[in-house]
Amino acid sequence: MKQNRHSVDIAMMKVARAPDILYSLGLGSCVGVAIYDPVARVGGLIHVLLPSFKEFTQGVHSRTKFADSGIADMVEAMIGAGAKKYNMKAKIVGGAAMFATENNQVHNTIGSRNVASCVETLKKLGIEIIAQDVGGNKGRSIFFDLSTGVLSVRTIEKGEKVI
Amino acid sequence: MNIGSENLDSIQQDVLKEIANIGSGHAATALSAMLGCPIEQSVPNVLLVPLSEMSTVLGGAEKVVVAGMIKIDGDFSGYLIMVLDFDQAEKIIGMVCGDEKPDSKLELYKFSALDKSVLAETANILGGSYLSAIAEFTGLRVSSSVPYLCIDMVGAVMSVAVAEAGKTGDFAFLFQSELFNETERIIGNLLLIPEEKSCDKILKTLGFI
Repeated sequence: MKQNRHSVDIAMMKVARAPDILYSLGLGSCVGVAIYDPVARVGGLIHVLLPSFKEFTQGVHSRTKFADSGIADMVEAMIGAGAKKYNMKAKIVGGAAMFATENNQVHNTIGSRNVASCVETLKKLGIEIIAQDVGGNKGRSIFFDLSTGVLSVRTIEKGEKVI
Repeated sequence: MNIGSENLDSIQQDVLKEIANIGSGHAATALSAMLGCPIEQSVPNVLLVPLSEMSTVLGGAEKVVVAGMIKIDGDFSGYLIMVLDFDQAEKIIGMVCGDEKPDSKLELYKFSALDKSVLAETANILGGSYLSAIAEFTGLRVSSSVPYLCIDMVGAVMSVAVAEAGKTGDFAFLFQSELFNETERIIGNLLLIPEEKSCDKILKTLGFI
């Protein structure tokens, strides 16, 4: 079968099946949440920008911009694609504080707030987090291989690692 | 609200260009004082870039850049981010310190404290110049923080700003300035990202909405 590579940009979510690859480039304070069902070999990746849609009552916002609404939507989409919720395992990457500021000002906590919201949302949905690479002050690119569920994380200084 | 460069008429574009012109004029004067040599400026470019396209405009999400961020507070608040390509950053360091350029790409992440200080000061000068130009035009008073430096992938560097601007689902002003002396040419990108409630205020003061 032909392997397709799908880019998951900011505030986007994609669901695909083996042997495709889903990837997000240059995650900073954003968080990439990769969920995989190894039995159905269906996976989803979301590129979360902000923690919660509840903070925004006005204006038009896509649900996939936020951790809570986006992850829930992605799990639904994966179930629609044949995955089973009880088989799903999650990996989360990102949530860095990019600029070195001397104290934790508001603009420097968005990464950790994103991570906290992702963890909480996954807990509510009953999906176990089996690996994570979060925090720090480095940008990351991630590649999610739907044949194996392996997630490779690339940083500019430390090269590539697999979680 | 959602606005792109195609939504701006030619008068509005002229106003923004004039701001950029004054801004980079100030920057050239300040830089030439720091460098001790005459610095010229070209006519700068102004764009209103949708945030989703920002990484692409700046060369792709994974391109490694040097960024200096300044937090703005006052009549309007937001972030000002200077984005420099690596070779441009090296040029600036070379011009200030008179050093040989580091030739190995492996040295990318090994800027000395002095190098970083030079880059932070450059961000300070460029940022301050544009801010005073905007203040001149709008009459809005703002103060700026010390610059924070970051060397990483452009997508990651921009994420803080995109998150802020993403609250309104919006755009950023991109000022592209070219500064040069007889031998060297430096191109810098400067982004102004207003916070949620400040977008409309700036545009309103400039007579856009």
